[in-house]
Amino acid sequence: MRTRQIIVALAFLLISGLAAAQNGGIRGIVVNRYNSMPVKDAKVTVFHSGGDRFVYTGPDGAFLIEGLDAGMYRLTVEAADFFKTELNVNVAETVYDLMNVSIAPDIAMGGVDDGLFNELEVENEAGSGYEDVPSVLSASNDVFDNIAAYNFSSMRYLSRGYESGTSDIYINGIRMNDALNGYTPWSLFSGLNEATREKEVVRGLEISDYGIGGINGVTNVNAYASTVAKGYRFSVLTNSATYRLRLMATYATGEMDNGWAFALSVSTRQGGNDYVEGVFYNAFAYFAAAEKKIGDQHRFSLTFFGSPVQRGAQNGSTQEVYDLMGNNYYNSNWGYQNGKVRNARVRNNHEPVGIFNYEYTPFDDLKLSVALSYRFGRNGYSALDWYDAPDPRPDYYRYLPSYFDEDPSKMAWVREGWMTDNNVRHINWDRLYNVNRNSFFEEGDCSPIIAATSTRSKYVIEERRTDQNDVNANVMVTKSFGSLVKGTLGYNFRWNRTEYYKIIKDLLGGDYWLDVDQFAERDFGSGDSFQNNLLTPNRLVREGEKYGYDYYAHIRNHNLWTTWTFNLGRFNASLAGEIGYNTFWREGLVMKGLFPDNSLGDSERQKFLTYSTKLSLSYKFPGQNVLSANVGYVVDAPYFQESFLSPRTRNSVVSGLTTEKIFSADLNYSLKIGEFALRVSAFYTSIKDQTDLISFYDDIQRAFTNFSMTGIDQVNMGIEAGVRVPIYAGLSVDGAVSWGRYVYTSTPLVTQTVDNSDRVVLENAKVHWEGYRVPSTPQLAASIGLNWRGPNYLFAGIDLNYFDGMYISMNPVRRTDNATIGLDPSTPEGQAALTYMTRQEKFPHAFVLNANIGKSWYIQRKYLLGVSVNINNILNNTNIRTGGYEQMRLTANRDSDGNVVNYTPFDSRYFYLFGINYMVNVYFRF
Amino acid sequence: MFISDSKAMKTAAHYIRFAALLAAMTAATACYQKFDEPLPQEYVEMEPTMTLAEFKALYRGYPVEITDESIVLEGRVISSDRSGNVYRSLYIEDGSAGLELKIGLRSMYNDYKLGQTIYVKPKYLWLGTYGESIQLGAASYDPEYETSFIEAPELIARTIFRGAPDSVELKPMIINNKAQVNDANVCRFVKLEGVVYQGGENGLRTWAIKQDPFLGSEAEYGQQNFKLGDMEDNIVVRTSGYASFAAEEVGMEVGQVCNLTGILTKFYDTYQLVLLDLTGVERIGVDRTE
Repeated sequence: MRTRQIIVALAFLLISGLAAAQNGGIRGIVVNRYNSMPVKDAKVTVFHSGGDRFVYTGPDGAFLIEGLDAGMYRLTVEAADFFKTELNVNVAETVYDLMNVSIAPDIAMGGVDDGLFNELEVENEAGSGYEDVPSVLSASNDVFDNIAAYNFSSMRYLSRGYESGTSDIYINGIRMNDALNGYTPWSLFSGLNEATREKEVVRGLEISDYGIGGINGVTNVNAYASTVAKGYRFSVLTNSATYRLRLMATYATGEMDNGWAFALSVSTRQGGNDYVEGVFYNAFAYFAAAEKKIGDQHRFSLTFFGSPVQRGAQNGSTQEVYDLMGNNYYNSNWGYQNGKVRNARVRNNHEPVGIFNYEYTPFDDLKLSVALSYRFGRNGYSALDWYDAPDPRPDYYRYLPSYFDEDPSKMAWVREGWMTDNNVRHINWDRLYNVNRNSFFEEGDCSPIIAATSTRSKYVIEERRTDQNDVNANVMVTKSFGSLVKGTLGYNFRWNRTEYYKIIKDLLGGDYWLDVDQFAERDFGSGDSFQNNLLTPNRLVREGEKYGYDYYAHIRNHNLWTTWTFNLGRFNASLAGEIGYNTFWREGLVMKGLFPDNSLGDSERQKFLTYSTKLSLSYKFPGQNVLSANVGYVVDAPYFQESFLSPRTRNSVVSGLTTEKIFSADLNYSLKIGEFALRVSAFYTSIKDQTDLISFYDDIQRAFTNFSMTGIDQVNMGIEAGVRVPIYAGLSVDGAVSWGRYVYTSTPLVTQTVDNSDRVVLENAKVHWEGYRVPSTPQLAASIGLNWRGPNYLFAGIDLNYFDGMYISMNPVRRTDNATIGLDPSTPEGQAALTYMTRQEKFPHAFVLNANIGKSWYIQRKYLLGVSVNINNILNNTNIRTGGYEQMRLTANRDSDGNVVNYTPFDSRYFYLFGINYMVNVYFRF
Repeated sequence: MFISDSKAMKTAAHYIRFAALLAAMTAATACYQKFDEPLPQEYVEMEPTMTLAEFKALYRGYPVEITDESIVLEGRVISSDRSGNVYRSLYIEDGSAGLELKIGLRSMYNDYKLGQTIYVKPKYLWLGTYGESIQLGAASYDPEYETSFIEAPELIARTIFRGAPDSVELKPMIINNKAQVNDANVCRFVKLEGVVYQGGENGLRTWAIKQDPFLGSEAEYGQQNFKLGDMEDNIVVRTSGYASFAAEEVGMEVGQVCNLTGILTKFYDTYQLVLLDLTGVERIGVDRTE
């Protein structure tokens, strides 16, 4: 009996003790650090045993989390347009009142729109469809990255000089970089800035939570229903550099009491810009996400988004053309049709993405994540195509004054045409229609019987399609072992089947196009050899139908990876490793007349074993004072797009195809004292065994050829530093410097084959570009700015930026021995010609001045209305070259007997930074 | 756990309102790239001020710049560069004579159709000769040539005008005796009737020599000889190695009689025939007179 009473009493004590222990809690009011205004809808999360818990702040900024055991908790506060804040709270047996939790607004208080970062694009001659997007696209907490993102990206700055494809972009934990070429997939969610604003960014070699990453950082976009900022958000944006108008509307519920969360966003972008004629946007975007949390253990999420875009493209021209037009923004891609500007080169993409995520957290220290994604749809890029007719592009070299440099009279006539005649300086659409309308069936046309009144189009608009079916499946398990060790094991599988083909988009007034290969017809005359498809010879093609080439790229990738972090007080270590097995092959869908035995069906499967490993060490000194070092070694498979000699015609694989090897290391120091922030890094990276494939008309061989380079090595080393120094009353000085030396370090070997006959014209010849610079980025970029965050949500900033070390993208042919034959370096003329052929052009240094100002208002403590204005390139310098490339063609100089004496290069093509331009963004949130 | 009815309805209303707003926004901004087809080309009509024969007579043995603004010539297109045998020149003729226009473009048959009427306002152009054959071209800065290709689009636009396409079928001038093979008929569209094959230059059996993409060898002109009646010299059928039929076998034995249709040209003392394509070759039997 007594025993029983004792047991009951003990039980009671225990229960009441437990109850008492759960009386703990945390309360507080989240406020803006600069004006002490409450921040509503901020997400306050507390991490504790039994799962994370979060609440949203009310209109007064207040929050309360109850029912916590006594102990130490980590608390994070996140709100749109504010930096994430983290603090540790020691909870006793009562509700602990934090009073005011102040959080710092993100730069310019969210008024500056990062959507414009990813709109830069350059066309490259050889790889039509090549996109060069700056790699610094999202601002982060880091003082250097922030400045680089906002101030360097207009000059096409590449982080540490790496190609954009080297940075990994994840969405909801799935790596979305293009399976065919590695390019960053920003276009998939362009126009969805609000829905994809929440990002987790790690820099350089750092190891991310979602994968071990490469050498250029990992960005994980959290596009879950619950991560889209709660409430309604509307914005109207106009600018003079990309499109006239952007409208965006977003609504998210946040996580509701019943565990559900929903988010919806749509936008449109319309119009052209002030500088380049013919470019335009006709773009929309949509985003829908739903999420359900069941208890603390299960979280299901479904996200679906797409960005249907029609966009006119710009083309670089030679300085001669820019000077003729008196305009460095001349675009040769368009002409007048019935008085309307019509662009021949239009991107037309719509690639929806669906993502399913499931998270299972059975225990506080164990988490299982499963993710599945599917990307599909269309990716089209139009261009003029023509058959046995003069080149319709206005800036074709034979249509320029310089082509007549030995005939002053004709030069003057050509110049006269460029000055006065729209049919000379732009595409003459009327002529193309007229040619097609008068192109009747004639004897000798190798076509089936057709009506005598049918017209065979000589000029058409084709649309090159790269339509992907991309499936990703990920499984990831994270386990913590106490507070010291955390390990993650992940497996990713990628299945990709992409169809490459082209269709007739517009017959331009004609009735049909005949599906034959005109270069094969010219070279081989009659027979089957010039059939594009022996299975359907002499086929008449109508609008919307496929022609030319048609093949699949098949890709299967398996990756198994693991990361481990060790927390030993101030010392922190992470170790990561990955092993992968990549397979890809080509499957031809047509039987090419030139290569009947090597075009239809599967190619040999290319198989690559890849691996990478990384180590990160960091030490926190007292104060916010961190020294860290990272080192990594990555072995990557080549991409499909550079592995086949002539993928449009046959299954032949580039010889000497091998994996790319990357070694990289960096050392970083960062310091934060209040508002003062400093970060300095030094890095060294060596990339070996890169391959490149260029297809072009070679004047030395007088044939369309495939130029495949292997063994391209480069070294990227440099330092980056960023600092923010608060001065007084919200005024700070911000500065950043990126200095690098990005240089090629090998003599790659090239094998060149004639496209039509597979004849090898160069085998393992040398391309002398050791010591040349890696192009397409300033190797020195510096910024100094003043930023002011005043009372009442007023902000302003001005920054001056300096860029140097920008180099032209090189034509490898000019660095082969063949290109310099007949040039005698012992004579001054020969030496000058040799230098002209082989020197890599360095663009002049440039200063760019930008400013921004903005203000927002709280109306009735509920509605937020804001305006921000950016003015870029205030000095209105319109002569700043941001990039350019050497054309592939050379002029053969002949003696009176027609023998080639030597070659001179074609003029290079350039892109220029826009002159003064503005952006105005008005936003409304509640 | 579940949303209460009223709350669910409120949420639904929320979404509907929002969706309607988005739809309105989309509709307001949607504009597509639509283009109407341009109107058919308008053809020019002009009154010629002199015949081609009169015009050619302006040549004085050295290059002559045409400065008279009022001159207008008219002729019908008799050549096509479609097969690649005629290259960068356009031949026209009227009732009086034929004239070679060194327009200098490539694949001109797309813009200048066989039989189409062409008007020429030759101010800014030059009359000259090549191999003693008269041509109309642009000023030449190369001492080897009396004229150069017109080529510059703006110069073409000011001098060459396109009239109506052919309404009457183009008929070659029939040449069946040696007296007709004379300078007045050079640059005319002719049909040589009953010529006899004499064999190819250096035993060449094809019309010309095409480049070989496997070997990388160059293309070369080919010459095949024909005899008209008792004319002393052969008429040479000269064919470009870039002609689409360059590699075709001539397919005739010496003595084969045939009709040949093409442009009659002259290089110094040699009369030549330029085939437009192989439809200009008509075999009619074997000459048994020899």
